[in-house]
Amino acid sequence: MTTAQLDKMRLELRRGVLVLAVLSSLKEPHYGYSLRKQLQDAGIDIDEGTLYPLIRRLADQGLLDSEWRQGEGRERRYYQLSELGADLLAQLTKEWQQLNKALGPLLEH
Amino acid sequence: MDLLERYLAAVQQELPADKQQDVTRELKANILDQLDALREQTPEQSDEEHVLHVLHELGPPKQMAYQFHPPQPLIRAELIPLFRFTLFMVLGIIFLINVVESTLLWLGHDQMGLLLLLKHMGSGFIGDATLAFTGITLGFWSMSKEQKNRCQQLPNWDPSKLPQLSQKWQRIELSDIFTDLATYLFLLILIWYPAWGEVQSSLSLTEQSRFILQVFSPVLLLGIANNLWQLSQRNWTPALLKANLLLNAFMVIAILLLAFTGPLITDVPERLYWLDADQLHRSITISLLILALFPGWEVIRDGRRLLQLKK
Repeated sequence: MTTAQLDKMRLELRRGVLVLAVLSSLKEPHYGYSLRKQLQDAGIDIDEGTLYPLIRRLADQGLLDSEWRQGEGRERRYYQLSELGADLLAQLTKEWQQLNKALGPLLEH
Repeated sequence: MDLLERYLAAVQQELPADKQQDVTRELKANILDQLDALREQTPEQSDEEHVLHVLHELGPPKQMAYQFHPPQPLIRAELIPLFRFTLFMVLGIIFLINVVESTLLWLGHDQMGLLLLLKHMGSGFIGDATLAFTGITLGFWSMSKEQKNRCQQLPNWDPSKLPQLSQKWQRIELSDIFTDLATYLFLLILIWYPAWGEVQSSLSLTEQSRFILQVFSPVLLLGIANNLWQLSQRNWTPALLKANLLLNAFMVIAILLLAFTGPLITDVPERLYWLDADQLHRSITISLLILALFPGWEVIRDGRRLLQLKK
């Protein structure tokens, strides 16, 4: 398998998981950079060019609430899970756990 | 910082007007946060180096803008095959019409050279094709918009209604439907195109031939309707086979009548001085007989297929 193929597969594998990670991290309010830092500290490396548009798309879908706040002499847009987002996160978490449980034994073979 | 403003302006340029201010405002806030973090991590580097690093990580402005606002195709992916066939069919007809029109003009004008003929053909085709391309694209764009709204509703389909195909040939290829459609349309235009009056002085049809062609025009219209029916079904059913068989039988009759009921055209054009009237009429009759073989073959083919389906 070539590096390009591996990168493509990794990207596909991570795409869905990133949504779950972002929604889960936004139980607490975060602005773009602080969210990226939190994900990085948790071991999920995501580049800015992917993360910032992703947060906006989730907000456009009504899964996140957002507001501009002033802090440290600068304005920042804070995002937090909306009610709809919280419902979706609960369902996705359940789905993820089921998948993980089913996938574990398969990968061990 | 000038570089940062240039980057934001380039991103803004690629975004729709209603998102420009909001997206760049947020992107700028995020970049400034990243720059702060970089200053803490690598204080020995200059501000310009930091900006360069962050912008390099973010990627080209166009790519960044597309991430925020993915481009929407003008025509939905599922409509592309139909769009392609429609385009090829219409452009094909336009090309043939231009060839016929220019040739008739050429036959009627002694001073018209080969270069002028090619120029007439080319300019006519480009003008008509541009108009047709625009019209078809706009039509499919509007269909795409309509389908997008429809797709948002839950699809209501019944798997038990899937066609039961017992023969491989029962699936109708899009290319076959469009070839037939193009033929019927071309023939209709050829018979009724009003502009022929101006150019056909060189090659006039006899009253009898014109009458036969016009009487059989409804058959061509039925052929178009039959093709649209095929397009909606996409597989041969006994009813479709019977309709196709009948249509092709009528076509054979029309062509044979044209071939055997006297001359098709009144005079031999001056350009074709090397042919006498008998030779020209004989050539036309033979050409028509060869032409009749195509629908004739389809009559036999559909007859055999009907028998296969009955078994």
